[in-house]
Amino acid sequence: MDVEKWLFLTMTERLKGQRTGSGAVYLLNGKRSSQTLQDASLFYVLPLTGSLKHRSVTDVHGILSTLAASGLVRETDRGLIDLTREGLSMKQKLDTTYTLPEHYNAGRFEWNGEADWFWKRLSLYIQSLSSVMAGIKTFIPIQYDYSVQSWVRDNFPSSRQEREDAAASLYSELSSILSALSDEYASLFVRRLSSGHRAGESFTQLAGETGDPNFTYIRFRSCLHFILARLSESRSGKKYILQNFMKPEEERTLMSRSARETLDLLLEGKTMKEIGQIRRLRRSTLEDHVVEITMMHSGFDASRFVSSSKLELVKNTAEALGTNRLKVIKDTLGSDIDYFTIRLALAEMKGDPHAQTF
Amino acid sequence: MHKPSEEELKHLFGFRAFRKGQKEIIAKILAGHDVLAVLPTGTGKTLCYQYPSRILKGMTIVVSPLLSLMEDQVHQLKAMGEKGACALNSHVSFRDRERILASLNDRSILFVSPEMLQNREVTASLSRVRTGLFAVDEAHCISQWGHEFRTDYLKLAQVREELGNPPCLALTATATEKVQEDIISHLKLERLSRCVHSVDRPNISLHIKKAGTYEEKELTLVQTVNQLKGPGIVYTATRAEADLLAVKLRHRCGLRAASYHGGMEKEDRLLVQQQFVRDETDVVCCTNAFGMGINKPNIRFVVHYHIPQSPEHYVQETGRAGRGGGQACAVLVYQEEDRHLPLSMIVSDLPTDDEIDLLYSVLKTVRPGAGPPTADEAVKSCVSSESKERLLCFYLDQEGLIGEDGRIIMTNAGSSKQRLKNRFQKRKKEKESQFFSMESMVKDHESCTRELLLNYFGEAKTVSPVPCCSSCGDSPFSFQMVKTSASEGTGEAGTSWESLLSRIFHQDIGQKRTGHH
Ligand SMILES: Nc1ncnc2c1ncn2[C@@H]1O[C@H](COP(=O)(O)OP(=O)(O)O)[C@@H](O)[C@H]1O
Ligand SMILES: [Zn+2]
Repeated sequence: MDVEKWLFLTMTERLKGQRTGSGAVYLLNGKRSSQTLQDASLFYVLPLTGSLKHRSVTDVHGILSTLAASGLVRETDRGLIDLTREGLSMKQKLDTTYTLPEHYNAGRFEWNGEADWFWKRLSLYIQSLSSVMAGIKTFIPIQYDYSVQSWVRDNFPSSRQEREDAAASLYSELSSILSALSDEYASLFVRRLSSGHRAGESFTQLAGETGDPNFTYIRFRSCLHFILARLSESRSGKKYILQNFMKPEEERTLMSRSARETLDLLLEGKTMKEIGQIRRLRRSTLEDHVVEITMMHSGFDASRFVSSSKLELVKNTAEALGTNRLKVIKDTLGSDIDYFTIRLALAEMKGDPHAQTF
Repeated sequence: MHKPSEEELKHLFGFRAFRKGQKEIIAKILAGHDVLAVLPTGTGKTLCYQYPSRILKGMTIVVSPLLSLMEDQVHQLKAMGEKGACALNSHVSFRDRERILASLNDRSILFVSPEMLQNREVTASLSRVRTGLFAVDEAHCISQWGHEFRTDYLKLAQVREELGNPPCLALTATATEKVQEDIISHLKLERLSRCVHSVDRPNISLHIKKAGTYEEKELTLVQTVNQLKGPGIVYTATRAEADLLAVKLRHRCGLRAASYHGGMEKEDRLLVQQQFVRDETDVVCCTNAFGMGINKPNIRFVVHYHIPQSPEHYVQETGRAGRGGGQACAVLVYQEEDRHLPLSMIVSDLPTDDEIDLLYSVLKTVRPGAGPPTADEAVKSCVSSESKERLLCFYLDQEGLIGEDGRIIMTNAGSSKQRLKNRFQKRKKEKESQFFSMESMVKDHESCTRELLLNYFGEAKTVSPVPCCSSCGDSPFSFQMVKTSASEGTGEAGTSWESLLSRIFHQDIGQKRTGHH
């Protein structure tokens, strides 16, 4: 039973039988949609959201199938998933083996691709810098992405003096940040790096004889999350060279590009109907966008679309019922309140998903 | 007429002499011929298009079936100073694709997947640039009789025509007579020069050992690896076994062993590959996902820990040893039970009768208002693997069942269902018979293995190298220098992260001032 199954069981438990198997898969896989954005904060699963982003959707579905086949997760006729009794005790048993590393926060750093952006650029830059300083002119890059390679090329110091300065600064910044981690974690990070004199180690190698490579992956990512959190604290101050490797603010939003375009038009004062015509989008799509925007921008005023009294009514009902299931809320409130209103109200309740943790 | 010469070779690539076959192939291409080149793995096929690409007017297109291989090739060529090397495949984003297409010129060596060449926009952009050479790597994929049939290869002749019929170089390491004929006819090769070289690699000795139990098999592996000088590769049948054996070899042989398989992250795979190429890892335990893009001259041994699926696989995988010309050996350890896995893999790679029945019932259901289903969707809903999807879509198309819009035209169905079933039955038989050939070779302890192998590819044995094979009485150790001492493990296992980090950034005291040359 490996860490990925444990992640799935944990997710399932937290969704309290109120979401489908696909819903859980999308959350773990870090799909960006107004639904996942909403669910991540409604169910307090942000640290887990996007934890399996490096896997394909099919792979994550595969985990679900395995768990279902071994009777640990069951699916109701309506497709909602829940832990079986065996599933619950298996999860509790696994809880003694696995816990999320202290600094791990997939919802903040994996979901929007921030950790990935940072690691790819930093690791290739370090490999290049270290190799060039060792007198090695040609080497096979450790990152194949064209965008990553061209970023490194554009940002690579051209003179020898600049290279030495960059190496000295990166060395001292990394040593100081990594010192705040346990030696075990700091080692994971450093041993993963490729340089002029050695290639980095695979997760199987880092895990050692008895370890779980997938768990080692999670632990390694938590080092990245820790570094990024550190760098974000002092972002405005621009204290570190390492900050240059971070994904630019404007690209870090979780909002889909399409929702962003809708937002721009809304800010220009266009109505939903006008936007629908301009962008040739269906009303339901625009409603998704509005929910998404409300989630992401706590300052965005949802009462522009629905009266505040209706929104309040939904919020109170949701709280009284202790549920986030749209259907249950809708059944209670009757035909007066539509689904859009309910989703908007729930989105407002949760606000910025980045603010949530376990 | 431009003729290849040793001086030019030295000048352009720094090699002193051509290897077997290279000069002849390059000369024919420069003379405007189509060439079918069968060259054993490791003899230097890359040079056969890289050299002409420097001389011919127009870019060089290299069709290559494996995405990961393509990227490795591009990076190796770039590392050799070939700045125009680039790759187009489904992993390349739309923006990058535009950029690559816009930057093509005479010095470009464009690696492209056959699927990409089915894209009209791509071929339209390509035809705006002159193509000097159209090279088809792994050309055996065009043949149903080859061991890796790829339906999209069959459309290459048409693409080549759209590109103005540039000279074509078809490259493969293994091709029986039948496969060669298929390559020639399907690629429409004319003014043809055939350069067929023996698949024999005299510097690789071939050894086969039977094990009665799994324990015995493992013991044989450990003993073999213990006595042979690395670097080496151990091919396993499954991913789990690759991981397991790597641990075993670390413990029991004190070697730096790593595992590699398709279930690993891309970055992980690259790391292991680089460790191996840089001699930081002695042995890689892996599935056959490993080895394609590896350019490592000093591999001393290849162990098969199972019976390969076909003699073609065997030749390709053992051929990774001794590329630099040094003596190397191939050791195959097997158990009777090993036959089940390859046989079941053959079955699972092909659509079954049941799946075809299911497909036809899906094809027939016309949802009211929605019209007939599209071929892609229908096929996807019936089979589980991509290779099956590709095969089915291809044959449905061949049967004329797919309309311009991608939707199914059932009126053409006729007896196509039975034909499809027969086709896959036949293909299964063919693959099974390839496996049986391999198996009987393995079990024949009397005849010379090298000779059997050559016979399979329609060749006769002409030279008798020493050492040759286990049937000829040679053991893998008779010529190898016995290892004197075990490698020191990963060497850095005990190093603190602080000092590792300072080495990475060249901050070590003492190295700081003098470290750069
Ligand atoms: N004429 C030559 N002289 C020396 N080395 C060569 C020559 N041609 C190719 N090589 C080297 O042989 C190795 C194998 O070449 P490659 O083209 O990758 O082989 P393959 O036929 O397996 O594709 C490479 O390292 C390449 O640089
Ligand atoms: Zn022999």
